[in-house]
Amino acid sequence: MVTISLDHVGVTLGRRAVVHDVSAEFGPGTLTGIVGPNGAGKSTLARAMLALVSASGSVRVDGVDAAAMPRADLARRIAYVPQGQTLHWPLTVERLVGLGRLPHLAPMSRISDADTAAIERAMERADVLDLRDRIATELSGGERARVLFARALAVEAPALIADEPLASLDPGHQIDVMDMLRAEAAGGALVIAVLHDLTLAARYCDRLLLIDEGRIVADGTPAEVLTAERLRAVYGIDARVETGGEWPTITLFGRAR
Amino acid sequence: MQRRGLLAVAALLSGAGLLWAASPAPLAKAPAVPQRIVSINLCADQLVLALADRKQIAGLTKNATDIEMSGEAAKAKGIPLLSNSAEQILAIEPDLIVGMPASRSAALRALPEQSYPLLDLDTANTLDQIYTSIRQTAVAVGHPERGDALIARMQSELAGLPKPGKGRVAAYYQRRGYMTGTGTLIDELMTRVGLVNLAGKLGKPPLSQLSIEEMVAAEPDYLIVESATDIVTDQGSEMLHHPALRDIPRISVPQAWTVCGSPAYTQAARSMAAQIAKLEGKGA
Amino acid sequence: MNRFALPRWSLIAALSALTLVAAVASLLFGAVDLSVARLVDAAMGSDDKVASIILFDLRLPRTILALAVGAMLGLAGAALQGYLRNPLAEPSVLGTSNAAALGGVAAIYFGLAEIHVIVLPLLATGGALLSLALLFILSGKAESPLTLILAGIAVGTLAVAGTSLALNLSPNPFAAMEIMTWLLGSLENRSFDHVWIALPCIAIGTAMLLWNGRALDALTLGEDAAQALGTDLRRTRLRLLIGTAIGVGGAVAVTGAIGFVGLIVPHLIRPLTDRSPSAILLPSAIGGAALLTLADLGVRIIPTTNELKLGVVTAFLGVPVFLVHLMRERRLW
Repeated sequence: MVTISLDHVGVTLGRRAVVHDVSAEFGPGTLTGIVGPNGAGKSTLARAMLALVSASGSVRVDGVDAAAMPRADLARRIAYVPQGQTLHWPLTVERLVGLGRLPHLAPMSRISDADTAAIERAMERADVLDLRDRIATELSGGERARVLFARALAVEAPALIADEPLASLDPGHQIDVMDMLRAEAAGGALVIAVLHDLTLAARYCDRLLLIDEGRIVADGTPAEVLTAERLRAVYGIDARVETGGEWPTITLFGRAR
Repeated sequence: MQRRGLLAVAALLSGAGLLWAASPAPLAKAPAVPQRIVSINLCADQLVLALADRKQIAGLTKNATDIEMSGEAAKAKGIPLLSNSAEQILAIEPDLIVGMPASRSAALRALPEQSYPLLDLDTANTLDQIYTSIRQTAVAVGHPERGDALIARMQSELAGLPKPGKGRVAAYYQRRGYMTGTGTLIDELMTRVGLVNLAGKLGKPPLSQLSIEEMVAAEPDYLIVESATDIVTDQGSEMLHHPALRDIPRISVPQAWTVCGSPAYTQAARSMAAQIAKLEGKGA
Repeated sequence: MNRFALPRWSLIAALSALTLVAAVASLLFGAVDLSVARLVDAAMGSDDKVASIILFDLRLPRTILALAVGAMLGLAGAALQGYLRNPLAEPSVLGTSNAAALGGVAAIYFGLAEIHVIVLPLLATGGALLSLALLFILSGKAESPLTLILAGIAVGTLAVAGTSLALNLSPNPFAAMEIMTWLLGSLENRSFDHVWIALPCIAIGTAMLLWNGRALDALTLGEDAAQALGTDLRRTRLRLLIGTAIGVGGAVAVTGAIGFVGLIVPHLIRPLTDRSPSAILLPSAIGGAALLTLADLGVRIIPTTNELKLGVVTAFLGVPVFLVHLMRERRLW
């Protein structure tokens, strides 16, 4: 089990302050969605949690300062699925998923049986077993998303951060990915996903962080966070939010006048 | 030692042409004792410096004071050095231009309206050809008796020269593995001290390249190198210091004495003979 | 897509066998025809002076250098391609070899190499280091692989111009004639002195580059994902930079800039592996050793009046292979 604590975290890129004074606590067994308009600083916040950018304030993973932690330790605690579907070399799916074991491999050692088992489990959970011998760069967008997800699952870390995992996927595949994230959280993992799609965020997340211009505007359950007034204020849109059912449903009307 | 090799090739290829050019056909008549002599060739420098008075010489080539390339370098100090420039020649208004040959120099071709008295010399590949050049130059600079005296002196210096070579095989090895062949001045020097030229033995042309492997396999008794390559300053000279050649005794002769057919010939011959005698004494 | 990936150790064994054959052939052939029997006798310690000298003083150091330099160039190409995620990257394309040549030229022709024997490889390494540092700075901002290659061409051209200038400015009048040896490379007339200069540098460079296999694999997913997998990118970059500079610097210091080995070998080897960057490293080193030794053999066997430069042979061997690969595997690398 793992916890991530953000205490007055700020990130400056170039001369711009992209993230201001963000404080939040994350614990196991929850799927948290980070939502907000373009350029709000969502991805930057996610990267700060992984010590990929330098941040003021403190980012603590299991109570230890993430920037001070050795990279391999941090890698074993948090798995990361970055934005875009970057893949530079045409590896087979199995080999690619195997990259997820890197944080666990000692310097000059080979892949062990334990590692192979973890890779199998990851491929099974992400439903890519039948793709194992295919070349990853030749897969469709939906298949590639699942494969990259499998790669992150192979790390078998107690936490998972996914940055815009639904980009350029059709609705069916978007649901597949959200189902996987949901299943991970249900299994006890700490899952954070940066999302654009409010409908899916509302449907799947236990908790939402609404970010605007680098600050937390709202933090709570989807029903608490997604109100019509907030949507107008943050996105500049006219929408109706219905909270009757299991999750809030959002109907978009248009730009706010 | 590229220059010597290239000169030798030029000599062989243009043999007929040179013979034709050798008969001096100056465009104007030179005075009996010229007072503004210009030399446009390093080898001509040697002859002019040896035979003319200092005050007669108005210009020599840039390399005349280079100790490595010019045998008369010491004598050349203080005399104006010219680059290959038509302007400089124009400014001097020479009454004799000595070249090898002079009549086809690029600088003179740039001055078609001027007609200076010219002396065209042949490249000298044998001692007799050196004597001919000396006589021609001595007459042209107005001191024919000096030419005869110089020749006589050289003859006497060479007369008593021993032949310590005893028929041993030697190779003149230059930077980058170039080897001098027969029909050249080096070859004549080798014969004079009793050595056999490896290039002749292998049937090589006046200039050829021999790899170190081939040199090792040829097993010459001596290597003759120019003294400038005794220090490694580039890859060409580095090659001559390759460990594979360490067992072959060496004779070192300054390029200044061999690159031109000049009075320095006798110094070269005596140095070579002395070195061979020393090496033979050591039980080569 | 049909994948013909050999099991790792089969590939290495096959390449090693090829390299061994090339090395033995390199000892058997040369300007002088020596029978195999005679050479074997000399190897065993016979009195045959000529054969001994030729074998031990000439052909042996030459063969050792061909193997070592070839290995270094092949490995450097594979490592740079992995790190820069660019299949066209390699020491000569990126201008590193030429920059190292400039350092070497400065050392020899201005008399600096006479101060101490280490000055030559030091200056060559310095040249390589400068050019690589420049490129690594540029690669951070490069959005397309082409930008990096163009930068490499610029650096390389500048180094070539600098080399030519240095040789012409040198007080040694014969310097300018040796420019072709520096820009195209040559193993002619190398001795064990050269081996002792190059080998330590190549050993260090090889070790530093082979260490990076995991990091290069992680970089398949991009820099962020690689770091999130535990890769210390800064250390990786440093090891790559210094390892390549020292290894290529030491090699170029004694052979001049030989091009294309680091480009061709990884390309030929990649289809035989699982295409991950780490799988290509060691095979590229061995393949590079074989390629350069065979090319050097070619230089000695092809009859020409003036010595054929190694870089010419590697270019003739390499570019067509590269073009074929380029057309066939456009999408794939």
